[in-house]
Amino acid sequence: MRTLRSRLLLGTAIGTATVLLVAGIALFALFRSALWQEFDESLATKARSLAAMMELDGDALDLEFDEANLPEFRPSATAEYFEVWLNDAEAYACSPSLAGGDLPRITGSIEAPGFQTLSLPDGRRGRLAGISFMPRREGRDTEAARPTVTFVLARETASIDHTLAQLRWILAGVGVAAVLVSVGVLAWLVQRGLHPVRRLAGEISEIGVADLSARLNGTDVPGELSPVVDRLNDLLQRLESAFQRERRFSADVAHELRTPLAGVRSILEVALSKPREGATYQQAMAECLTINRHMHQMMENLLHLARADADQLTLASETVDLPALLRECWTPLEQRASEKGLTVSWRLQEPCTLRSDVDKLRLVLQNLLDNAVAYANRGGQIAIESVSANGETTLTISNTGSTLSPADLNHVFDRFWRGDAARKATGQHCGLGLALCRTVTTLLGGSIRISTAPPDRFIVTFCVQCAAAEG
Amino acid sequence: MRILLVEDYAPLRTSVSQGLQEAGFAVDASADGEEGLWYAEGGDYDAIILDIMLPAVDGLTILGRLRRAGKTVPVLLLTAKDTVDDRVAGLDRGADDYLVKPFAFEELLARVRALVRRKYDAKDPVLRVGDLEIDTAKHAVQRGGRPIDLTAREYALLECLALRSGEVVSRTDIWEHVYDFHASAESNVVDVYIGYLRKKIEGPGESRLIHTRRGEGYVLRP
Repeated sequence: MRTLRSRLLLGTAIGTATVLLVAGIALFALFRSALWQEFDESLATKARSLAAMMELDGDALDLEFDEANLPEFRPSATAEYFEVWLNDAEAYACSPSLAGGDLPRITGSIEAPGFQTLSLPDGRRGRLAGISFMPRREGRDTEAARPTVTFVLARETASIDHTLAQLRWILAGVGVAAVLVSVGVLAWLVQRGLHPVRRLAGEISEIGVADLSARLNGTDVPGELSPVVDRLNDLLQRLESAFQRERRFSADVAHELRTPLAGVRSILEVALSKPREGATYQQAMAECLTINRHMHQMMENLLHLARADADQLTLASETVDLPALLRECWTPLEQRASEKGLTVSWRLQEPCTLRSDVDKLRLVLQNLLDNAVAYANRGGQIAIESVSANGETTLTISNTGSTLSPADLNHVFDRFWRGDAARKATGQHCGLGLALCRTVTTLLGGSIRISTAPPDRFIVTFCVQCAAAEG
Repeated sequence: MRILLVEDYAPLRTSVSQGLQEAGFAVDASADGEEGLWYAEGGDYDAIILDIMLPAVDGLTILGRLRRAGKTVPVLLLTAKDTVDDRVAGLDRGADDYLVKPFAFEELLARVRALVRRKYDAKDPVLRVGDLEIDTAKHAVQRGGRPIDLTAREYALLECLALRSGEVVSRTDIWEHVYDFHASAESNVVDVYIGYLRKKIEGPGESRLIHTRRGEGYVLRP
C-alpha cells in the first residue's frame, strides 16, 4: 500500500544511504591518499638517507651500510629490498633478502623519487622508491667524473592494505548502522506523528447519519492537520443542516399527506357508520373529492420540485401567448373568486408573445393565481397586469388581504412555510406553491419577487424575457 | 359526555365532530389554538382531542397551559407527527393519549371512551348500579337480564349519571354533558328525559334507581 509511512521510510533510507556512501567514499579516498603519501614519504626518506651513505671509492661504490647494521634487509617474512646500479651496468649490489632476484629499475631525483607499486619477489604486495644520483667521492677529488648511481628501495605495503581494509569495513558498518538507526528513528517518529491522523480517523468513523451533531476534536492536533479538521467540521456543519432540512421537509410532507388522508378516512368512516340518506353520502363524496384534488395538486407540486432538485426537468421552447395562457389558468378559479366576492382587474399589454416552456409557465401562473384567490380577503381585490419593455415582460399579480409581516417575506419561498392565517387552510395550501414557482421560474430564466406595499397588498412580480421575434 | 375538539383541518374537524356526536358525545369544535385554549380553560370537558400543529397557539402549548393551571381533564393528542420524540414530548407535557393521523375512527372513539372512564375512575367498560348494567362500549343497557332499548339522548343521560353513581349531579351539569341538551329549546329538557329514562329502567316491580334531590339534582344509586 502506498502509505505516507512507507514513502517516508523508503525516502529516508535511500537518502541516508546515498549521503553516507558518498561521504564514506570521499573519506576513504582522503584517508588512503594520506596513508600513501605518508608511506611514500617514509620510503623516500629512508632511500635518501641510505643514498647519502654511499661513497665512491675509486671506481667502486662503497655501501656504508651492511646487513649487520640493517637487519630488515636480511631474508625474512617482513624483509625489505634494495638494489643498486652503477651507470647503465648490470645490478651492482642488492640486499641479501633479494637473493639474486631483481627489482625494476625506477629512477627519480633525490627530491622527487620515482615510485611504483609492485609484487615483491616473495609475492607480497609492496612499493618501491627509486632515485638516481651522483654519489660523493671519498677524499677531495670531487672534480673527477662520477658515475650515476640508481638506487631502489622496496618495502611491503601490508600495513597500509590492512589499515585500508579495516577502514572500509568500519565505514561500511557505520553506514549500514546509520541507515538502520535513521529508518528506525523515523519509523518511530512517523508512528507518533501519525497518531493524530489515526485518532481523527477513529473519530470520523464514529460519526453516523443518525447523529451529525458531533464535531472533531481540534485540540492537540498538529498544525498541519488543523485546517483539515476545521474543513471537516465545516463539512459536518453543512451536512447536519442539510440533513435537518431534509428531515424537516419529509416531516412536513408526512404531515401534509397524513392530515388530508385522516380527513378522507374520517369522513368515509363516519358516513358509513350507519345508514344515511343519499344526499349525505353525496356530500361526503364531494368532500373527499375536494380533498383528493388538493392532494393531487400537492403531489404534482412535490414531484415537480423533486424533479427540479434532481435536475430532471427539461425545457421546451415554444411560442406562448401570455394573455391567452393567463385567461386559461384563470378559468377554473373564476367560480371561487366570485364566491369570495373578489373584484378582479386585468391590465394586459397585448399582444405579448414569449418564447418559453408553456407547461412550466402554466404551472407557475396557476399557482400564483390560485394563491391570489386563496389568500385574498372576502370581498377584496385581485389585480393582474403585464407590461413588456426592453425585451422583458413583467407580470404583476397582487391581492388584498395580506397579513404578512416584512419578516415573513423572507420565508414565503420556503417549502411548507405558511403565514399564520394561511395555516387555517391545512391541506388546501400546503406552502409548496411559491417554492415551486421560484424553482421553475429560475429554470425558465426569469425572476420572481414578493413585496407588500401597501402592507395589506401581497404583490408577486414575475419577470421573463420576451420572444426575440416579437421585437 | 362533553368533548372539546381542536383541529384546524376543516374536513377532519367536521367529520370527527359528527362522528362523536353520533356516538353520544356533546362536542365543541374549534379551528385554532387561541379559541381552543379559551374553550378548554373555561369549559368543563370530559376529554379534549387536540391537534399539535395549530394556527395561533400550538397544541403542546395549550396542553402545557392547561396542566399548569391545574386542569386534570384527559387530553388525547391527535396529530400527523409520528416520531418517538414527538410522542414522548406530547406525553411528557401531560397528554393522556396519543393518536397518529390517519386513524380509524373506531379507535378514536374507543380511546375517547377509555379517557372518559379514567376521568371517573371507572376501569370496567361495563358500569353497574345495583342490577343495572351499562355496557359503555356497545351502548347496551340491561336490568336484571332484561335488555332495555334507549334512544341516544336517554343513553347519554344514563351514562352521565352512571359514571357518577352515588353522587348528586345537578341539572346544569347534565345539561352541559349530554350531547345536545344545550342545543334544545325546551328549558325543562333534563326533567323530561329523566322522566323517559325512569319509565324504561324502572319497570313494574323494580326498585327506584334515579332519585330526585329537590333543588340539587339527581342521583343514580340502588
